[in-house]
Amino acid sequence: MRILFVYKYLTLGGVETVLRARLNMLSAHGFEPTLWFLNDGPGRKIFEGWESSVFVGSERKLAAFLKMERFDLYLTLDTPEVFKLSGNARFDIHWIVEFHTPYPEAQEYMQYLSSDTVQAVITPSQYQAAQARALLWEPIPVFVCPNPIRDVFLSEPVIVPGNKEPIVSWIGRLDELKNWRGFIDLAGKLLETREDISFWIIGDYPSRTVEKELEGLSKITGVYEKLCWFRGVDHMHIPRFMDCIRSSGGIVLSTSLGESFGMTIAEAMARKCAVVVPDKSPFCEFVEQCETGLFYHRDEISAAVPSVLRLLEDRDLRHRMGVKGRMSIFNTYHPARAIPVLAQTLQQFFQAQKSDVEQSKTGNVLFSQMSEV
Amino acid sequence: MGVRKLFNCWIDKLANLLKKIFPLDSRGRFLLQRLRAALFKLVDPDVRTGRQLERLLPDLESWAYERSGSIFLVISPVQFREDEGQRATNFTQELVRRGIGVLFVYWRWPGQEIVPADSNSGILQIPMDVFLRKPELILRSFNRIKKNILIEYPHPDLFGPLSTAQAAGWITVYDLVDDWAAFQHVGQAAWYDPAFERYLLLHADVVLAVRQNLVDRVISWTGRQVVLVPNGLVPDIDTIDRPRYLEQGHITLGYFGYLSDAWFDWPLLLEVAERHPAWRIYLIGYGMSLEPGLLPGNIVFLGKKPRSELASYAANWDVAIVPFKQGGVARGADPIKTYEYLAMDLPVVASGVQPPSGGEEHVLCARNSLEFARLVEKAAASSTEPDRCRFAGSCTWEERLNLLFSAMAESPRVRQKKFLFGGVL
Repeated sequence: MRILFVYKYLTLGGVETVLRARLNMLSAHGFEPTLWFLNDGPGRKIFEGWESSVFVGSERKLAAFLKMERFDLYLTLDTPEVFKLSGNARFDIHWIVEFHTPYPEAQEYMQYLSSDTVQAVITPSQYQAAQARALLWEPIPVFVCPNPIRDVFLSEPVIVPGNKEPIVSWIGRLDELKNWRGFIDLAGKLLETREDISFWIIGDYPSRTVEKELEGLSKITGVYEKLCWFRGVDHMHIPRFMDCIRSSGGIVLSTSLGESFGMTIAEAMARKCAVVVPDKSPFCEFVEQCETGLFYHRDEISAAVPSVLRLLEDRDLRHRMGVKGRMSIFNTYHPARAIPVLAQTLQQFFQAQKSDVEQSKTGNVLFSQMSEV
Repeated sequence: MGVRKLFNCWIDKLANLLKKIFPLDSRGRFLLQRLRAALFKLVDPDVRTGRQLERLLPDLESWAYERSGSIFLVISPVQFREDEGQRATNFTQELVRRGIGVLFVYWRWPGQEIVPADSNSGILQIPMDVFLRKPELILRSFNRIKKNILIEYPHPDLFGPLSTAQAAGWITVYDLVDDWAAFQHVGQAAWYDPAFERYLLLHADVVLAVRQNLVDRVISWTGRQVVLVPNGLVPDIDTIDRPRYLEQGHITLGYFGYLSDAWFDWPLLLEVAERHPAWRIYLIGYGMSLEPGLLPGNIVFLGKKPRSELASYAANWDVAIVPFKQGGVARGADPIKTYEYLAMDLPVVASGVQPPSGGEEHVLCARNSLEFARLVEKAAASSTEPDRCRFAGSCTWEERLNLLFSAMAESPRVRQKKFLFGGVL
């Protein structure tokens, strides 16, 4: 079955690495995936060995490509540009939209999706599915397919000696939604209780002004000297960073104000890291309070202080949570579990599409009767 | 000048004419502005340098890949100049000799011309301002080779680039070459931010210091391990290229190096010269704030001389001097010239600075001008000492670089970083 994925960017980001993981696994399930990126970037090296399946080109080139090539399924990942294709575009394509973005401004396109051009929406979490339903104006079915944990996170975590202080870390993009300021604020509060903590921020910024702001804010809060910032770590190295954090007796913390899934927290759990997250979806879908992580009240960052301190002080609890967390994440998000769910969903789409074509001749449309997950 | 004035005049006339033809908000004016911006980009040397860099970085990577498989990004407060023999320059020369590529990032005065880039020699010089404009261009390159940064210039604008370097697996070495706080105290190094230096001291993978007192201070500040790597010398510094005769005094003294007001003790030297008119004092160097014509007759300023000529001038001296001011700046310094004087078999009299570590017996230290003069007399009466040269011979830059590499090899942070980026523990 030929399947096309269209995405805006070819960077070293999370979506690209998920696509890379899918290439291997979907091939094993009998799919023939092809990727099209609208903008070139440094992400090509992620797809080494798959060069013949990866294309990069403008919307105009994509339109021409779509006219020449036929696929059984067409998927787009938060790339509404495909709906504006003109010129050589074929208008008989029914897209499956993968809705992953947590950014409200990037979610707006969902309101304008039409059931004439979109067959279904796939999301990585129930929470994101609810978001999708709230945004859609037309009755387009929404399905949840879990994100697979990337291959590099699957190996057995190792112990990394060398850190004298526990590391409290924050991983993500330094923007408003991920709320890096909340982390700095929290770090300042933690230092009021315990001085022997190091803080790691692993993430890049969307604008250079953040650099000065981070420096300034960390000085004001007294965190500056204790803060180590890793700006733009290649995703393949993150598992070892997490091993280092865990070995230091540290934890991974989220201060995010919005996630579609919470991949970095899931990845941290896969590396047996204890996690502290806000008590809201989508975290509640895969973190279990006191079993695989600790929650804090979603509207009050300082409420995370006792949870973080409790974990830093309780080695057994961290260990227990780490072991359980890895198991729990593997149960749902291991590629061997998650990809078959995606493959099965795509097969169903394909079957339903075929039936729709046949039934539409007799006036019955079955596709819309596929039960939502 | 006349041609340039005429040219400017015609340019003005042309600009006025174009403004009349294309009024404000017209499409023509818009296109004209775009054309102007594009032309600016073409002729702007900084923009040209940026583009040149993109072309030259792969060449430098190949150069290093074929030889040693590693590169150093050296961040220096001064340009790479062989004739000034600064620590960063000497380290760079030694690194390149070992087949290690060097990206030499240097601070420049506003408007100072850019050194033409050349990666074929294994050294690529980049002004700090050009580097800071897009540091990731460099810091996210060189993925085939081992990457190291040697920071000798703790400028606070490096906070962001350091975070990129840490994320890209560069091994970071902070080399504490001066007491920067003391420099700021005497009205220099206005850029210095003690908080950022502390940040560097805490977060660099390896910290080196040039003097034991700086080592002790950092340990008391941060509790972390600091490795003493004093200054050194190039082995052939004592080679006389050809004889150069200077008029001799009752005692002939000499100094070579930077004559910065921040540390050079002019009052002491002038007092010594005045009290001992029969002595003759030769100064070789640059950065002197005094007018040479205002110096007393027995102080002779020879200007800046190539390093290859220094030994031939120094061969005329009875005693070499390091007359530095008492205070933090000199206390934190480890003058390279001291090693070089000793290699030239000259007795050394100093003030303000401490003798090199291990070479205490070869340097006489004075606290004031009277003692300085007395020690000069004592030194002049001393005979040749083979130990002097032997000590200097053990202080080559090659040895110093070995110390740096040992410090890197023994650092647990370096081991951890190598692991984080794919190595084994």
